[in-house]
Amino acid sequence: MRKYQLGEFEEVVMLTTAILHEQAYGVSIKNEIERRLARSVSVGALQTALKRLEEKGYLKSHEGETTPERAGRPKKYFRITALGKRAIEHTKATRDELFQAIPKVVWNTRCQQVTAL
Amino acid sequence: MKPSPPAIFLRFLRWFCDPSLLPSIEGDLFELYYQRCNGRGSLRANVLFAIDVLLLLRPGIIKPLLRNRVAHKSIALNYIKTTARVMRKSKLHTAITLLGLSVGIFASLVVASFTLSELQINQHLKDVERLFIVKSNYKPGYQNFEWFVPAPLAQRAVELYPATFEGYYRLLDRNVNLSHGDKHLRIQSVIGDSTLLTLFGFEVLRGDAATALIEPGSIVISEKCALQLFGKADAVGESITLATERNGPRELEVKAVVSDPQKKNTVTDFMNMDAQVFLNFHIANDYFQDLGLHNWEVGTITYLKLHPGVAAHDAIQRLNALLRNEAPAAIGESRDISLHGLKNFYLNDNNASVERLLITLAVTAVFILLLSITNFINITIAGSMTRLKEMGVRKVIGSSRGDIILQLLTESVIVSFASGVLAISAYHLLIPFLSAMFNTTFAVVSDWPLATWAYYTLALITLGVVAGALPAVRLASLRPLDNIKGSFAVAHRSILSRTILVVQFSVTTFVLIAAVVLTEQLNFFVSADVGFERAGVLIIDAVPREFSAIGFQKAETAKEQLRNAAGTGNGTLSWGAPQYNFKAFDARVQVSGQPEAEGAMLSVGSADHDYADVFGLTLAAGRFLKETVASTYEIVLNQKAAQMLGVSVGDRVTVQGFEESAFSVVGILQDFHIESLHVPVKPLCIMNNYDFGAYRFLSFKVAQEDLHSTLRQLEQQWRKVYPLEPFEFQFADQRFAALYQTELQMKQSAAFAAALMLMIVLTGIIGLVGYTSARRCKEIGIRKVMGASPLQVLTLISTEYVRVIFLAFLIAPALAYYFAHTWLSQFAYRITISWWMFLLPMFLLLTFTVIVASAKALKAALVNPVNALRLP
Repeated sequence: MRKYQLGEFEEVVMLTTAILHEQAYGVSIKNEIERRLARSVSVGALQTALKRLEEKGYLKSHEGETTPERAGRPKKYFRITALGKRAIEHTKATRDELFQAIPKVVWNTRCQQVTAL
Repeated sequence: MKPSPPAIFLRFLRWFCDPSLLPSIEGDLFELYYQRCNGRGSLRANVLFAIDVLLLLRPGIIKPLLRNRVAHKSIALNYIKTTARVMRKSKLHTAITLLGLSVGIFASLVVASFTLSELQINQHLKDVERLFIVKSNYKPGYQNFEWFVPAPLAQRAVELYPATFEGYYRLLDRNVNLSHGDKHLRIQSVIGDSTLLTLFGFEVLRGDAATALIEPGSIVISEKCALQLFGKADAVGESITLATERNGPRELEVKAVVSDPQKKNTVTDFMNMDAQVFLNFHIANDYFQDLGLHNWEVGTITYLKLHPGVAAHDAIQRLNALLRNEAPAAIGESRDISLHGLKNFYLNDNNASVERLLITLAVTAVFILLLSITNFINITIAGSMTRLKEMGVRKVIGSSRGDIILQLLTESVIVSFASGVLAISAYHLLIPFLSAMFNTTFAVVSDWPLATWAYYTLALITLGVVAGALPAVRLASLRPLDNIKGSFAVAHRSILSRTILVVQFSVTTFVLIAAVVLTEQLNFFVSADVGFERAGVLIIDAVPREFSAIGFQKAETAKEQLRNAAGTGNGTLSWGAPQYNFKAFDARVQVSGQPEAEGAMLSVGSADHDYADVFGLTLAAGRFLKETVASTYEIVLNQKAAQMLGVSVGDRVTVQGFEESAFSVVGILQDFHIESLHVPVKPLCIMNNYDFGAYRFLSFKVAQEDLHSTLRQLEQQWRKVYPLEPFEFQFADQRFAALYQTELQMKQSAAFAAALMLMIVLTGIIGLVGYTSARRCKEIGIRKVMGASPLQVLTLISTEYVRVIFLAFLIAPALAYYFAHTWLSQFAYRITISWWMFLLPMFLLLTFTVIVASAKALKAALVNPVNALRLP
């Protein structure tokens, strides 16, 4: 369990990186998250998460091309590693497991109201 | 124009960001910035950029503080090892550095402990912020002891205004004679209200604070007194015999033992009386005649406690109104009452003399510390030449500037710690000396609380960093190639550091001159002719004060008995002795029949016919008092009194307080000093004990050889007459030394300060000479190759410090003269300031400096020029 521990934000970053496939770098990840999840992401939070994930070995980075709008600074592309894939799969599996374990009655809102009465 | 992100934030980012992350982060930020510019305008983009940068300031993005994480422990060990090596290599250098810093730390340590102990005074008293001492501010024309206020005042105040005043305590002080078995003690007591223990909250070791002083016949003693009398602290229930002055012995029961009251507190040690025994007013009549506590004419030292929240000025108004309403007009109109809080009393009394002293000391300590730090900096920079290669190699191997700074700071912190240990050892060893000099008890090092140690350690680290910072930064900023090549570009000595040296020398010169002047004045005091003989005179100052006919007879018997002891010469019964409480009071004396205004205030003493012989007084005219056992109404004056009154032998005078009969002047004594030489000779008169009606001292001439057995015999004789009274005595010359206690203390302090300053100057001068010879090393080498002699080189190096010394010699004597003149002018009898008092210290300082400096400079002058030129 502990082996694949991921924070909620880390999970989002990993998933987004996987979605963007080969096009994932700082700005694109940020924009993608903001677009899909409608939440704002600061560069600081994102960079820290990326660095941590890279240190854990879930992501791998390589330097990409430089563009004029980046004032000549290279892009740093991220790619999900095999270990990273296992980690998100694992996370999803545990989520599903927990989801399945919820008794049906919880979903039945009328029942709940009755008992409350 | 193309917009660009705010430069300051960009620079900030570049400063703190981990360099490996920087390019991509910067790129992202730029990309976002231009996106935002296109979308929402550059102002908003700027703000968002700034926010992004600030949000990046978090762990993970900030670059690591220490880059060389590798083998950190071994690097630290290496630093320590290098320090040890450097210290071992140049022992003298190290010794001087240590000495200089230790002096600074030591001075600060002493001042800090003194200040802390002084700030504690009175603070242990219960509710100290609500305790006040009451003062009488006399109006012009009335003069009396300012701390005496009418006895009923406090009591009436508490009765009438219970909402304002919570309680009161009144006291009178008295030396009393206590006995238990064969132990006899003469000791300071206070006689006062029963509220002593409850009002001030003195710590009661045994017994009950609330009831201890209520019953008649009770006594409370300090632990010290209990140990002296009973040999144990648990003395409750024991009985003590009090030899009272007016009603003979009285049996008292110890009701409580208190722990020794704090020194200098404003209650039991008010005006340094140091009371160890506490009595109730019940026994007041055994000591004072007609002491009515309801009588407004009677004065006591009075303390009041206010209720919480009561403002002092309201209380003062109430007290003054009360005084006007209830006291007789003569008392009520003679003074205003004021209240003085005990919390700050000790610091604020006497125009805040203690506070000013503490501030002066603190400034001095900081000053000395600063001097020693600057010296440390100078010496370290001067000595760092030898380290150049090491630093170069370290840098080439990969040390960064930060690493080298860290290494040098480690060294200076180690030196600072070593000095701290030296300073604390010196402090520990000098505690007895320091305690005497500062008149306080210094905390023994082993008693320090943990917090003090923590502060001390912290202070040492700070000191090490502060002192080491400048040399470290300077040495670390040199370029490695230059280091290895050995070009040592020392920045030019600033005017500041030269000024500091001038200040050091000036202060040292000043202190030395002050020490000489103080010593001379003290010697003058000791050797001056005071007009009487004090060598070999023993004074028994505890003759029981029973001033009845029987009492007088007993005292006369005692005199006869003691005179018979072997080795004892003539003796005399008197009120006081010259320079030891001679006078009973000042009284107006005038030629009989003339109006009072024609008279003069004379100090009045009493004696018997042997007084002049025992104290070696010389008569100028007439004879001394004749032997008698009854009133004779004879009086002797000294020349000054005779001159003021215009009387000669045979005239008759009237003495204030003795108006029942005129006194006939039988003799005129040559002037002698009854007080210290601070004040001019006082006009005085001496009358017969029987006329005077009182006596206190028995004085005898004793032979100096075999003093011990003489004293034993005297005590045996004393026991025969006074079995219950302690045999306590002083020698006249001991008392004499006590007169000049302040000057003695000042002399010690001056000598002490001079020693400290000499050490500072020593380190300072070595720093300067070392610096000069290091900076001009190559120059000296070239000069020598060109044929300069060692002497010429010596002169070259010396000019710099000689200039400094002479500048100091211009400033210091002027200041010292001003100080000496002001200080001496307070004495009625003083030395004249003469030139040698200035020249001698200056000459000594110059010689000292030249020797120290030459020793150092000679090394530079004699070194083989080849070595110098190849340096390092």
